Amino acid sequence: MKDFERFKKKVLREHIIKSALVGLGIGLLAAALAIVISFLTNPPAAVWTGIIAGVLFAGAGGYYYWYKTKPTDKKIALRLDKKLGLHEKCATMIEFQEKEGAILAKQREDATTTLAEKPTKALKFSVGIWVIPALAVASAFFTAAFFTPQNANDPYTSRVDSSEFDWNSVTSDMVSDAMSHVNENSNIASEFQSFLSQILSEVQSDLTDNSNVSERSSIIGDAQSAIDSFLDQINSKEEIGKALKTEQDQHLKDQGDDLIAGDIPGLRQDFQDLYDDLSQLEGEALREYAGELADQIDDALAKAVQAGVSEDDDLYQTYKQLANWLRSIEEMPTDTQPSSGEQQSGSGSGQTNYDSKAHEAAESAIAQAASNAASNVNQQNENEAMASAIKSMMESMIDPRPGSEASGTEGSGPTTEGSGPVSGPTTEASGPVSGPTTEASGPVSGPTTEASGPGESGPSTEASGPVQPGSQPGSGDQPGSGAGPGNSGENSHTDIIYTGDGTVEYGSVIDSYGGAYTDDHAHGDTDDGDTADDYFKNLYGEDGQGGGK
Amino acid sequence: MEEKEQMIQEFSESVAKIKAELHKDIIGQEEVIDDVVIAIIAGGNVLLEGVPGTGKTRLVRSLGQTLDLPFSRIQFTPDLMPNDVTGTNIIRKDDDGNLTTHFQKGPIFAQIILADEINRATPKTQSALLEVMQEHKTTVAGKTYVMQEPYFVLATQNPIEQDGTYPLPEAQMDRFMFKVAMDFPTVPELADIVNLTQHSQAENATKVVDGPQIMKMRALAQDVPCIKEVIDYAMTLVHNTHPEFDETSEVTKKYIRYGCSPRAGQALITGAKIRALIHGNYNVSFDDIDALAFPVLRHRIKINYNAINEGLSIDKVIELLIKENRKNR
Repeated sequence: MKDFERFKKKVLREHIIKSALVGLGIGLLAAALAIVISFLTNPPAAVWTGIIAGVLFAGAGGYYYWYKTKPTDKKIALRLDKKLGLHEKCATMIEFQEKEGAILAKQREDATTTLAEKPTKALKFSVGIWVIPALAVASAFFTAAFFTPQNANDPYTSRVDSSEFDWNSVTSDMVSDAMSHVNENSNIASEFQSFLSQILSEVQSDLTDNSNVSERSSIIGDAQSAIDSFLDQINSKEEIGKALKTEQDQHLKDQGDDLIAGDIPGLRQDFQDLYDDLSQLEGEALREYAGELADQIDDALAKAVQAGVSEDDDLYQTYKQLANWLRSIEEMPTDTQPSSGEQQSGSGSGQTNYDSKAHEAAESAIAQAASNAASNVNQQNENEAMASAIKSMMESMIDPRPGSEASGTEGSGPTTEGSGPVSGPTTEASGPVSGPTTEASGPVSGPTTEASGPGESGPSTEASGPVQPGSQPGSGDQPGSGAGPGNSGENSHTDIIYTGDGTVEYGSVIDSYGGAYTDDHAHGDTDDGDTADDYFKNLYGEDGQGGGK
Repeated sequence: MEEKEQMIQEFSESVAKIKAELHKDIIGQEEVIDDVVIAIIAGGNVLLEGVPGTGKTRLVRSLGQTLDLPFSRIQFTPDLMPNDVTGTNIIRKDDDGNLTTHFQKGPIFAQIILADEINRATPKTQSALLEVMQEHKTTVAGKTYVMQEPYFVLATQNPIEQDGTYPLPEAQMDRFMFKVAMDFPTVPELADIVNLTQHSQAENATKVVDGPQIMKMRALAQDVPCIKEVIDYAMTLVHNTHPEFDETSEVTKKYIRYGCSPRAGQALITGAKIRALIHGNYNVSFDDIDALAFPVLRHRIKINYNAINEGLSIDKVIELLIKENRKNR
């Protein structure tokens, strides 16, 4: 039996190798199938799916084969008899090993002697003639699986030959479109504009001569992540909004909500409400409230800075200015004498000079803050809209072949609702902003500037810091010199102005009118006549002399 | 155990002696001698077929001398009657002058029977051998007589001269364990035969084995192990001679009219065990089965018109069957 064990070990080793090869074949077939299915459904996962399926099935298949076909002693003996020409001596020895008898003893002796004369190498290694061809076929299937047309379930896409498609040219056109779109929109932050231009250039460079959809998808994914990351850095409305919501004052909480939502009309209304409440206060109550507001704004800004907002951020600066202005109202010298202007007008009897000046300053400060905040939020909304549009355009660059899911440039432009805020702040500017500029006759204590006229549009950056109370006569009697409602700065034509000499001009007022009309309707003002009136006042001025434009 | 080992030793020696004695009278015919010896040890009957002068009768006569057993020869002719074979009751006057019946034993009451040219007797006479060949006993006038063991019938027949002959019925053919074909000798063998018979036609073989020794050898051979795979292989071969089964091979369906009986399976395994011992092995191999397939199946299967038309002999068909069966090993 010792000699039989010698051969048995060899046969079992051979069986293990055979099982491994069979497992490998099964694994390759399983991997091929998994890769084909992945390419048809989820191409980026194809390689990993194939590896996992291959390893699992190779192990399971190999083990199953090993277990199911493990040779018994009898089978090994029969094989030895056949291959070594032993005339069934081995098989007889194994089958009758439990029985005794003279002939059987002789038979065992004979079998053992004969087997001992045979060297182990006399039994040639054999894995079965079918194993190698089967393995070759499995390998061929595995290799072929990598050539599966992606999205092959689409009969149109499957006909597009990747090698014949001009990837570089189409990609270049798409990147150019995206570049143009970025450059045409001046409402977004300039650094964001530069960043987008740069990342589009990098994307184009990375996608050049690359027709592997999986790799292209990865490149685009990285670029989209970079855009999101940069957008998060330059947009502060969410952080400041959250910080304001933590404060006690309800007006600040409301502003926080609207900042987070990017709701500019709502934000303007919040400022209006704040002014309305403030204007109801007098004396010490007014002073205290202004101080509390300033404190809470400063506190919120400090939290925003902790959340990552830069102190150079425009929105941060807007609120910082508002806090400073409110602080100046708190620190105004007390004067209990009623103002002459108030006495003459007969309104606000009992108001002190302090109250009057404080109200004027608050009105001006809040109006300016509302305008600046709306402008800032508008820009951040534009940033978001632009980021979304560019990411969408990038998506179509992954597989620009006709018929693919992400292909086509139609409808991918960034013409989103981001254009809305352009006209928003201009129409809302008819609230507290118009007051001080037209009525203020005394010394202006607030941050009244030349851009505070009615119809002041958007982010007038010329507004400087608060003017010291009483230090400068007001200039609100001057007609507003702003661009008029709806001037978003991006209109490509001018208003039609029929001048005396027969020339024709086009301006932004006409564009803004459309926005104003829409906004009025959105806020329940269905009086189109007023809107039209505003339009013509802005176009030709309050006195009909064309001061608005 | 030692006794058995001694028996194994004696078996080989006895077989060698028998073969040596037979070769004193028979030139060549190695396979024929082997098959006959196997049949003798197994207790089977043998039908020897060959053209005249190939030594069929001489082989049996020589065997009779070698085995030290009562030998009788029956020359089968068309007018031979059953009683001439089995024996008959005769009326005889005893010492007192009374008439009594007395059974006069026929030639079948020897232990080695040579049924020479068995196909020349009528079927009625041939049938007289049926019972004694299978059951080693005969019944005459309602009385059964049991033969002494070992008992063999060795018959001869001429395949060429068919006029006035009576082909053996299948039932009788099946009772022969082997049908051994004696081929025409080669030129050197012919020369040896001529030289051997120049001075005397008498057989030169001497007695080397007796009846009890044959019985011991038979008992010993029954203990030779045969694995299941070999038995299955033999039975598949037998089963595969039947064209009526769906699972049989194309060869069978094409060339065989009807197949062999279960006795073929018994003969294959029994003969294979003895053949293994004769060849110095202690177990039955596939080769033993293949080798004995020819004498065992030769007279048990009937080839059809297709085989005859294509010029295939019965041995060629058996060869095709073996080749087919080897695929199932």
